Amino acid sequence: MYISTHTQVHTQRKGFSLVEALVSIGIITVAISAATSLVQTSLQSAYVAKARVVTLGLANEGVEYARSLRDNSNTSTASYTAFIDSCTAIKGGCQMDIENGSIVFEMCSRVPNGICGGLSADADNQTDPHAYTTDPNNPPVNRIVTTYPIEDAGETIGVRVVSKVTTKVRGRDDETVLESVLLDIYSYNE
Amino acid sequence: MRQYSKVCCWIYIVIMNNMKTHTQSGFTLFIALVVMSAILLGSMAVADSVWKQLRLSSNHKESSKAFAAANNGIECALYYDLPRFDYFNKDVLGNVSCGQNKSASVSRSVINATTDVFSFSLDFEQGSSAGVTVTKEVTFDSEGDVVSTDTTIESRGYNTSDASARRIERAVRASYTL
Repeated sequence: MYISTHTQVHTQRKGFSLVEALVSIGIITVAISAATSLVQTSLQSAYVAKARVVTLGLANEGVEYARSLRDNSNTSTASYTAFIDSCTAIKGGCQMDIENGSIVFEMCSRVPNGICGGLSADADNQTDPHAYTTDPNNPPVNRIVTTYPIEDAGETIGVRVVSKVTTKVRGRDDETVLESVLLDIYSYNE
Repeated sequence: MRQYSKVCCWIYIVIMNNMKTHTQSGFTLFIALVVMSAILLGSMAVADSVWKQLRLSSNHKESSKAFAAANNGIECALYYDLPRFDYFNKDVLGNVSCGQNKSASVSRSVINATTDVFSFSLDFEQGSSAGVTVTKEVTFDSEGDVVSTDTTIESRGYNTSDASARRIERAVRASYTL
């Protein structure tokens, strides 16, 4: 009687250990796969968050380049007028960058065999290692500045500047657009 | 820290009880649950941190769009207040041409004998918009001549045109006396 009960209990416990181990393995597998998936999604989102901050800064920079041309238009009126005329939507917008301390822009239709507005981090820039510069070869980010002249009674009184930055974050498209209205306040005299 | 030591103590007691009674059934399961909880807790902490990063960067972007719209609105109002146009002193109301809606009509409401409020709204790229109000308060002398005009321009920019929970408002105000 004792032996049979003991054997029964022993057998039950042995079986239970096996089931217990299988369930434990199952639980840990589920936990690890859930955690992996969660961390993977988080990593993807972290890249998206980083890209948003970078593209917003670059879009803002595009608008600021245009604002700077407007604000200095009393000293270089030709440059500002050329900017308004060259970068219209019909002409496909422009790429803008700083070269030798001054703002340069080039119509997208005239960019030679490259991607218009292609930018990449400028690692060689010793004064600002986080700066982005025009790179037609393998741009992680693309910025195009387009102008929409504002007319009132047939006269151009300013421009709407749209700075559009596009990038791919792990295969997904991401876009940031900033718009600024720049009116010819400084060139106006009466 | 006290809670942590309590949990450790509890785990130790459970382990010791199991060992004392020689009934170690469920111990593997127990450890599996503890490990699972630790893994999930860690990954949820990472997810929570990244979720906040995403919200912050998204808010930064939308806030910039709203602020740019407000800034555009105030620039437009300042321009049309120049003597060349002088839109906000006229009885005949004009249209402003700053936004995507190239000709936005200006409306006027008379508050009292000395104060008028003019308003217009502008649309921009990707649904951002601005609502602008220009308040003109005129001070007269005893002979009824205009002494000065106080102008207050308020521009409220929005990242999106639909009034959803994700709508962000940024405003800019300019005041001057002429």
